[in-house]
Amino acid sequence: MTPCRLAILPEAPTRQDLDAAYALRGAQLIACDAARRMAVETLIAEREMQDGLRR
Amino acid sequence: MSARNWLRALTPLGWGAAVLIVLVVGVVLARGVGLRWDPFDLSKRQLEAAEVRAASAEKDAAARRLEVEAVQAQARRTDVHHQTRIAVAEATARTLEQAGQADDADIPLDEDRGDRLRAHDRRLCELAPDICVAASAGSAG
Repeated sequence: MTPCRLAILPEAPTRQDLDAAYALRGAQLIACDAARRMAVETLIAEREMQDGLRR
Repeated sequence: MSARNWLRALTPLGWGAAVLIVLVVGVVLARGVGLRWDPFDLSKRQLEAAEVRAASAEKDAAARRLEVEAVQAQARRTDVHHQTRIAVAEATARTLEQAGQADDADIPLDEDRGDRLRAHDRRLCELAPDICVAASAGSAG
């Protein structure tokens, strides 16, 4: 399972590094949330399908 | 020749043929008026078995429909997720490019500020060591 990511600053960071870390953390948050949402929706759909098959 | 004489004249083979003819005619007439000879209720059993098979087939068809719908829904979810990732990667790549082209891009952060932020990063990485990656282009996932 691929974990979510957290961008961190390198040693002796520059302003570019700070900008990059700021932007990447936002992107990582969105990507991680999208993956989480898809996983949860898939699980719910799977259970609903199993319930439907039992009926 | 009278009927009695005809009967007397019949050989055993003739009797057998006559009985067979009478039986066939009887069966045909009985079928014609709707009578059925089914002492073991085979027709009913066959009907019940057919109904069971039909119900099972309907259930299977409903299950296949559910599975097809589930696959289609999953494909839609995957597509949405994929599109989101692409949009995020594109937006982030633009920002990173602009950050790299900024006039102050190579100016180091104040030492206190850098230490403070890196200390926070270290603490986060202690709490979740698997997820820390150095900030660079292409690590938005």
